Amino acid sequence: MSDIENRYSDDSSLWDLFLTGDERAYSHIYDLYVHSLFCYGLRFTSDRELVKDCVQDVFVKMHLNRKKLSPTDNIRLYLFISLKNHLLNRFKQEQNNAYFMDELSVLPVEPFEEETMEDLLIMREEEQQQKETMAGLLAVLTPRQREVVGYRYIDCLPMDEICKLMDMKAQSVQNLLQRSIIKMKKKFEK
Amino acid sequence: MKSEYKTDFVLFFICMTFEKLNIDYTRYSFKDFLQDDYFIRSVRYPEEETVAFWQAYLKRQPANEKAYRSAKSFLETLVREEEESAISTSEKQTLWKEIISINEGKKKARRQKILYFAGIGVAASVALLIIFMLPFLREGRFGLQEENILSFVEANKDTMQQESTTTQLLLSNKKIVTLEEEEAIITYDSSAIHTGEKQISKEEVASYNRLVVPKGKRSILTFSDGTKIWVNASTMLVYPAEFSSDKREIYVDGEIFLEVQPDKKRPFIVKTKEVDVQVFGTSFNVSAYESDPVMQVVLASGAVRVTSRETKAEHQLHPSEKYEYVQGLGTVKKVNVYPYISWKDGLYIYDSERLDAIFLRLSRYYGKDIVCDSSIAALQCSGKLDLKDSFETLLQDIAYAVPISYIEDGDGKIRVVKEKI
Repeated sequence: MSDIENRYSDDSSLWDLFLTGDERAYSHIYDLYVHSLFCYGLRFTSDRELVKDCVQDVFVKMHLNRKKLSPTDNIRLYLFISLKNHLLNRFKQEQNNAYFMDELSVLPVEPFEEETMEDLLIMREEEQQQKETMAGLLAVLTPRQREVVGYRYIDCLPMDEICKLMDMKAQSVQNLLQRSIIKMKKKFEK
Repeated sequence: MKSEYKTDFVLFFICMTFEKLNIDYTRYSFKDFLQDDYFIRSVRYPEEETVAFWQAYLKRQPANEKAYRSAKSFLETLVREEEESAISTSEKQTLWKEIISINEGKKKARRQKILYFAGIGVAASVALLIIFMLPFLREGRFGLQEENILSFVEANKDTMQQESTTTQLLLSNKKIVTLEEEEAIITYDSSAIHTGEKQISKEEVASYNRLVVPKGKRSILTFSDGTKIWVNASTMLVYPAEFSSDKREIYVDGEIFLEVQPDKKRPFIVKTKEVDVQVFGTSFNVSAYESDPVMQVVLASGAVRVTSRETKAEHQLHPSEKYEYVQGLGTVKKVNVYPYISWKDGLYIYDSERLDAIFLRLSRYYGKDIVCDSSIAALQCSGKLDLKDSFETLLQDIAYAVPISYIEDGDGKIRVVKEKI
């Protein structure tokens, strides 16, 4: 636990250095995060070139706007949100991405509507036996499920950050995770 | 000695913490482990103390070993799978170099898809479906070339209905190129036509070419101006070997998706049996089967204008709008676009569609004769099918969702009937 806290406190000084125009801090951020950022992008699309385009946009934009950026103690979260926004913008232009076909991603989630949400989710999932180009365990999941599983098990993000990134309430995130585990377990045991 | 002491102490401390939190690790299942923060962190970022903790745990709770190991290997598989798609060192370096040169103003942002993405703002995606046939083709009102393409279509009507099992490229009355591929790729450049290994000089070619794609096949056609067309099954496409200097016109009976290269001087017009679709932009999808009673134009993005040749009624479409033309009457409404163009990606998505309509489409994709029993024809279905799957798999998938079964007739026809319970 302590190493994560260390990294976080490192984050804000690294970020501050970058904001003051330190090029080495900038390239250090790239070195540190490009790998996980790229993997993160690939959870939304299988198009590697598109992910590269967007990762590039993220780094170019943040360099361009560095005088205007506010301090952060969580660079990864900043980069993730930024990359996700770039990708979603591209998807909107395409208008045919599975992420947007998953209409639930834009539904506001009320706590007392959990049951109906569950029903909806189940229906949605049954419809969505998609075999996109994604391979392996994640292939059985819907885009939203893939996203949440990535945050929880690969990035090991805390729940509040997952909620922020997915714009969902904690209980809904839990439900989504539960269902994802059940689905992947079946595949895993085969 | 010292470090051993330290480890023991930490272990003790962790056990204390969990006892305090009342976490009962005694009957942990696969799912429980995967919902446990400490477990996840231990697998992802193992440390001396976490390793020791779980070793001690397994000694105490041997019954849980199976669930523990399975959850652990599950997590490791997930992570390994993601690692496999990771960015390579050289990709990482190239990308960084590009970022630096953009920051220094030496280079513009990379956009390997710039045309597609930038263009799509003004681009158009249209899907049309024609079901009713009007007895006569009306005379064109857009000048000479249109008359030419429509009169060419009319003059060659007899030869166009021919059934074939392979894709055919008719370059002139004498020159017919047969393409055996499932998805034939044809490219026109300024002097020649390329199909696979074959190459034909344009000099040998008549003014209008025809591409006839039979049931069960598809094709991708690129014109010399860069315009790219995906041609769906059971489709006939007529186009000039070389576009004229003032407009680019093609004729379609069937379904196509286009990415049109922008050219302000030469508007792109897709003609179908009853309407003209004028494209203001770069990319759109047309599906127009003359054998279907309803014709549809669905616009993904950009702008198109649809003009009925019979009534002269014009409709300007906005993105996500569907134009429908039934018996001389055109109407426009909002729709979700992707289901209409997903065929291009080898998917068939349908939302509350009638079973007979679904099977009509599938019969085109797979080149099979399918008869849908009237007792189930009106059943409505929603779903998504992968057109790369075998036809049998697909039928089973549908049978899973609706109460149907199917019989293969002796004459190769497939009869879909209500499931007997």
